[in-house]
Amino acid sequence: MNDLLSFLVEPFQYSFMLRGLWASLIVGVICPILGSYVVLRGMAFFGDALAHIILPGVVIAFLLGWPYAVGALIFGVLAALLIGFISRRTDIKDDTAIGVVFAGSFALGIALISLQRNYAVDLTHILFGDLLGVSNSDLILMGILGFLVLLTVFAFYKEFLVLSFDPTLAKTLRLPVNFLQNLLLVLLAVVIVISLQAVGVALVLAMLVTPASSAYLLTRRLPNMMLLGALIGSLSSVLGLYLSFYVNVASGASIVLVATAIFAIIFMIAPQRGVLWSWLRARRERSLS
Amino acid sequence: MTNIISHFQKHDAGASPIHLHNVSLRYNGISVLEEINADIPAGEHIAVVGPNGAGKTTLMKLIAGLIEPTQGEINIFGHGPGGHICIAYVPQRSQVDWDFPANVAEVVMMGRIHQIGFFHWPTRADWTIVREALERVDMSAFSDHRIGELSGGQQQRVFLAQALSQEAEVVLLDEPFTGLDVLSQDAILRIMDDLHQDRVTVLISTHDLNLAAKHFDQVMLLNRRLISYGPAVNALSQEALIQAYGKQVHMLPGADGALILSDTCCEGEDEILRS
Repeated sequence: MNDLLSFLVEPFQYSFMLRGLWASLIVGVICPILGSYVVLRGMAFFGDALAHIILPGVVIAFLLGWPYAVGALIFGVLAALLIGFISRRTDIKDDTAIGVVFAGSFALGIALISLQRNYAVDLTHILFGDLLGVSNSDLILMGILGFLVLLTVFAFYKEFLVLSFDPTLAKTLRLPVNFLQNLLLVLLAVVIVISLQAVGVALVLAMLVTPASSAYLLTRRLPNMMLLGALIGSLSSVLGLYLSFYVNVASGASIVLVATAIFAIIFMIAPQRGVLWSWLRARRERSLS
Repeated sequence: MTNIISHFQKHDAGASPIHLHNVSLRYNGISVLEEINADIPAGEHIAVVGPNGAGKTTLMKLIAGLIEPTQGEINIFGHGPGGHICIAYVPQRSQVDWDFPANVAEVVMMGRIHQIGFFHWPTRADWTIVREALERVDMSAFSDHRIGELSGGQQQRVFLAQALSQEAEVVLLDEPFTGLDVLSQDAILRIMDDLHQDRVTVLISTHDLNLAAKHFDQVMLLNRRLISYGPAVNALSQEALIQAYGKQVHMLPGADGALILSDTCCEGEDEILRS
């Protein structure tokens, strides 16, 4: 018993681990809540692109000594508007427009970093996260931004619900559709900024879609999907941190691996919608006929 | 306080629910609708018929204010459609994500979110309206079912309940009968009768001429232009039908002079206009 307790407590005797735990919990809760909209609206590619697009913003903010969140937000919002502009003005399809802006912006970020030889280390931190390097002020910023995201999602819950389920209805009810759509993109950019230090640009997408889609397989209503997603997300964070501590794996990667494992299990055994379930149903129907 | 971002028009006394004046729409140089003129009195139920690509869906989207005409004027109770929340538009079923995690009561409540207003939550009165709407379409028993679990006819009734909870005065239904069995069709027609008593104006597009002639007092025959509009007997006259359907219509000698066999189907109607 004592062994188990010390096994559980030991990692968090280090203050950097404790800060890492808090940071990963914030990410684990916030990402799936907004990620539910990403999953339901089929925005996974857009989310991944947005995470990469903000790279130059982060680098520029870093060089100017600004909070990295500011640069990331500016680039995120600009890119979202640019993508909309390209796909509206030409025959180019949305995903192509996203791809062009995504790759171009990411390349710009890498180019900027490569100009600064001293910052070579920071590229891996931005790409793959640096959970154990989270400072107290980072944590406070993440907390404030996360709280603002939650508040906005709560305040506009029913409007976002209609916009996601039936955009035509949102229009006939004369909701400010463009405003809501842009608000959702800004929220997405903020959530990516929050997650940057925990899992990095390359793996933000996993935290956005993996716990949320696990929850999707188990729930029938959006609020439950969000809550269960947040639960699965924070569970992945905690388990991932233990894994990282004891097996000595990179923390961002281990959190994502745990989330993926949870998804794999739920995908197999989820009632009604899991693979096992539909296999059993098909077998029963075969034996009946 | 309810409408922070937008303000809405009051209805002009005596103005018709739908007034179309010289309405034309061109899309990429192709004419989709030409010079539609019509004045639809309150409480009228109208079947909109015509061949594929006749512009039925486009007409509905114009009236709903989802798209703008290139020419002409649309007035709903005396003002442009964009200023109204009294219009319910139920598109063809395929347009909604049926795997969405929402239950029937929630989908019906969506019709009320404008009345509820920003930063407010549904009150007990709102839920009462939702419950009553579900009772009127006979779907109370399915209140907490996921919408994806329903049959086509049941889904259609849920969207009618949504229009009811919206307290819509103009209801536009795009091909509501397509793919439904006779029982489900009858259920929807019964709800239509119910709306008739509340003087709700209803426009229904259908490719089923028999159904239009049998169940609607007024029929609009459309093929880019408004070919005829009036009681079914007049609107679906031989000349009008030939004008609308051209070679697709065949005449057979029947008891009352002619029997109409039209060969139209509904898939991909109005593909040209996606908004």
